[in-house]
Amino acid sequence: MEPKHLVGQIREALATDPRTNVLDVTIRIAGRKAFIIGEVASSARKQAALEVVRELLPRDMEPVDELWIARYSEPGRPESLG
Amino acid sequence: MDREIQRAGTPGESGVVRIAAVGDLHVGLDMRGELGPSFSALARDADVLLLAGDLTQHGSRDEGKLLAEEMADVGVPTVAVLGNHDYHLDAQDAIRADLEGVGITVLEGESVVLEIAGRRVGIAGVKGFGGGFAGACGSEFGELEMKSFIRHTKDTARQLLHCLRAMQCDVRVALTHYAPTKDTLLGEKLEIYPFLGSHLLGEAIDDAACDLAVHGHAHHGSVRGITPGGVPVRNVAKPLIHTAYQLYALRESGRDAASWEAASARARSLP
Repeated sequence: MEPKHLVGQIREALATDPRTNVLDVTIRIAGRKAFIIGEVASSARKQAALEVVRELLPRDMEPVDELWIARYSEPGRPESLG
Repeated sequence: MDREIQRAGTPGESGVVRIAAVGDLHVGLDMRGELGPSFSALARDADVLLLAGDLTQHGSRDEGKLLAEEMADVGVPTVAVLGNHDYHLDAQDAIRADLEGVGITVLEGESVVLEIAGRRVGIAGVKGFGGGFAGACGSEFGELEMKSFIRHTKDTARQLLHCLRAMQCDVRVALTHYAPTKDTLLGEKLEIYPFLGSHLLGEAIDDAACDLAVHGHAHHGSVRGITPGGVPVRNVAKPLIHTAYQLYALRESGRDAASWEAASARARSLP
């Protein structure tokens, strides 16, 4: 399968699989490696995304985990409007 | 529908409306106990909290219940719209009921007016929808599916305008999930702009002479934008702002009375 078609299939699976429903993760394929890149809210969601991708990849391809878990700072000062 | 609530709590500086806003919480069952503490300082910082949709990850009833539990005691009036994730499992009505059960006002083609710091703050909310932006947008033409897509966008923009112009208030705020301007999409892939918002929402916001428009949905967009008519637009998607909420202090409107009246008259005259 052409790498771009595989990217399309993986993105659709990540969006629609009930384990993930993730729409904003980037997939890049380079050689036999599939890079899964982006921010997720928890380690459970990271594992779920990797699992969904792994299930779709041909046997000779390797997933590369480039997902990170979101960290949030304290709210800053208010922006003045008006 | 236009509802009115009298706010409780300690007001901030007289005449200054302190708004906290965040969208795209994407609460899942894996986040139990995380959300509530992130709002621990909210009552000190703000008079009202706006939630700009995608409050759940999968749109399940269980997520809605968890969200309601976590948001039950944030200490300020909370006004929300739902987002596309909240509709995914067709449980949007149940999610809404659970949120309303803990006192959160959920708007969909509706508005609410709050008394804050001596001013009447009107908030009109719709989820909104996609369609794209002037010059690069869909039209109600062709296949049934395409016409249905754009008709939904038009309907939601019309509802927003109707609610905005019906409010009797001093400060007018539009709350949507989808973006009303492409300004706040900068950073997203250009190809997906039509799925992130619609200029028709921005047109409604301009026609009703809003003071502020708040939305979510665009995780990789930009925080600040403006409608063609000059209304400030803020993208408060949590994955973008990377904080529990953004804070805005709305002072007396810089809009002069004549231009505001002209815009209001134009809004009232629309079909």
